[in-house]
Amino acid sequence: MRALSSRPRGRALLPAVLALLLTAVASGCAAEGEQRSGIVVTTNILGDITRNIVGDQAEVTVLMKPGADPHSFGISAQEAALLENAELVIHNGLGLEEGVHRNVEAADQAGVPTLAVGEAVDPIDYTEGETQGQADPHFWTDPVRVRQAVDLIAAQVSEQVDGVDTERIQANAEEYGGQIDELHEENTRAFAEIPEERRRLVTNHHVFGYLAQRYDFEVIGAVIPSGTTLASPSASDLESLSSAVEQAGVPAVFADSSQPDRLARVMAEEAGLDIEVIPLFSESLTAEGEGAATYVEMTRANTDAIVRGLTRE
Amino acid sequence: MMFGNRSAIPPSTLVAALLLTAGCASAGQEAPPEAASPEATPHGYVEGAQEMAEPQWRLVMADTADGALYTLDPATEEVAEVGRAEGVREVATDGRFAYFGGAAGTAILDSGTWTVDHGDHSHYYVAETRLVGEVEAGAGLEVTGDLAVSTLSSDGGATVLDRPALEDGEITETAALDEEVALAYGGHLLVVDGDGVRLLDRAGEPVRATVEEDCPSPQGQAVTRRGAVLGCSDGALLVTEGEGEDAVPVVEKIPYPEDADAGPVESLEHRPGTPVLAGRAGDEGVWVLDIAAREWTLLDTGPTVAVSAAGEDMPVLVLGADGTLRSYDPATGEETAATELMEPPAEDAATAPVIRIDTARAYVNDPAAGAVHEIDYNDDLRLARTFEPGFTPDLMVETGW
Repeated sequence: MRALSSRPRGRALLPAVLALLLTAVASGCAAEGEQRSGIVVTTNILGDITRNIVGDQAEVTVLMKPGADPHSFGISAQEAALLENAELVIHNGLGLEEGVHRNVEAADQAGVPTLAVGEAVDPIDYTEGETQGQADPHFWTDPVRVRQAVDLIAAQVSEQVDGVDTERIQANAEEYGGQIDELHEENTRAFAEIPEERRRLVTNHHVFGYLAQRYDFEVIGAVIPSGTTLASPSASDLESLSSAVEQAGVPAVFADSSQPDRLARVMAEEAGLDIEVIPLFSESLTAEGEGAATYVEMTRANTDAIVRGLTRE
Repeated sequence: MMFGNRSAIPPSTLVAALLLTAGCASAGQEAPPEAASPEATPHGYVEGAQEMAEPQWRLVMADTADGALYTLDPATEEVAEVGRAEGVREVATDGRFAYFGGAAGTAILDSGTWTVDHGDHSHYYVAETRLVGEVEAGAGLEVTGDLAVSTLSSDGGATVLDRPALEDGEITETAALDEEVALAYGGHLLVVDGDGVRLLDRAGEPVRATVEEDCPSPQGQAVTRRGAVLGCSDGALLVTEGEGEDAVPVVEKIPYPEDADAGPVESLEHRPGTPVLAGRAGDEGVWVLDIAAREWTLLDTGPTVAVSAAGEDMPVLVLGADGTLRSYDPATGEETAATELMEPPAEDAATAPVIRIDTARAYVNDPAAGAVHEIDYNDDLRLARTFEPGFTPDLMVETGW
């Protein structure tokens, strides 16, 4: 039955689904475990990590497309069926994947083994804002927790997925885990270049709490002035960002803006603040060639951007 | 992605997948019917759409002389001609689609920009701008919508359109109602039938609740975060979501003050989603409805052309017949700022200026001058920019919300 998820989605799936349906009807669903097939992963970040561990040992289906939003991506009926008939579902949890939460829950209730990785790696709470006190789901900004996640995923794959070579899984996990250890060491060395008084992330992202805790940064939230106000801004349009930059005393802010250069120019002209506006990758991997196609590439790109911004003269 | 892909799934596969899900329901849970329904993926990931860092506002306009339709992006100041609707005379929007009403029918334009609200944060998208097609509707267009349906109310009756189909570029009526007024809210439709008010499901079928309140001479409608509102000759009908599972909406009347010295509100205008509504009260004043307080306030403004409200604890903006824009604090009724914006609009002009408000700025079209004025309403009505787009902006809505 593993062939089911290795087929391309779409029309080609139909015979497989029908076949599976017939099998299910014939067996009356009593021996449900026998029909389960493959590993289904919700987010593309966890998908990349899982594929590195699993290699060619099992089919891994990743539900969230590159460049999508983990909160809002939804799935098709076929994907829902795959999920409910997986041998293992790996998801982030902690409220991240709102769009597929119910599907994951349904799979869990149907007896599919599920691993909520975020819940298993010692989550921290948000410290401010409307979500204060709730667990922060964005654990992947801390490679040390991702290293823990690698072992957790490897153990679950070995335990739950039929027919995998557990020694290969273990070897893959050690190999990839080593890359993550190295990534953490790289981060530590790179961030050490940033002077103590500049270890401040002025940002409109809400995902860097784990990175901040691991590498001793302070996160200072700011509202980024919208594009329509930049042509003719008033002091109130710029107030949140200006005061955050002044408080932090840093030469760069990390924010998504549709017009980053124009924002920097306006901040210089109107508020007398010389800053660079630098985007970071936050919640999704990108397509190949767009800067964050893998977790390792994404993390390196963010680290480089932060170091470059905060060591700017 | 659900919406974008929906029509691409072979129906037989969908059925098979559903059967499959249901086939294993005996494993100890009910088959989740949401697996294939829009509610399972109510959010805005759409193939071909790009998520953006901030709202992508567009002013969507029409020149009534030739029916040409335009968009203006206030962030880049780019103007694009995006289609034509002969005989166009009015426009309404649900935040993404603009509905251009005219003698020949109502043309629907997908402005290609919208917001998906997640409560504590939102997501913003852009896609292609395109004309979707035309539907039959009368005059006096009012539009509401959610992620499942859009409603068009007019003197020709009310129409309910399938929203995912619209997003795919197809016009699919899910219900055609005899009633002139329909409003989408909380998974239901509120319709006014003569004076009586009824709650329907999205397909137009009655639901079990009976509504005690009536709504004589319905005029104006709005959907806000604190409930949906219909204007009636004796007050406002407020619809709020009921409590508990499968709750039906609750309908209540907010009557005008007994000593009200003005006629009923002509329309209910506001910054999209916000629960303070304002509309002309005859020629001399402005009604303000604060939904949280369940209270009407009459502002003594003198003769008015256009009005809108910026939100809770924010000003009400009024364009006077003298061409001056003024802001009022609805709590005190005091005028707080004024800016001379345009020549007094001609009373006999076929189209009058309107005020559209977003989170940062307000926009006022000025057909006589061929201009659109951008106002910083948080900065004493400072005139931030004036656009001269090269056509006559007779009709204007703002999309991207």
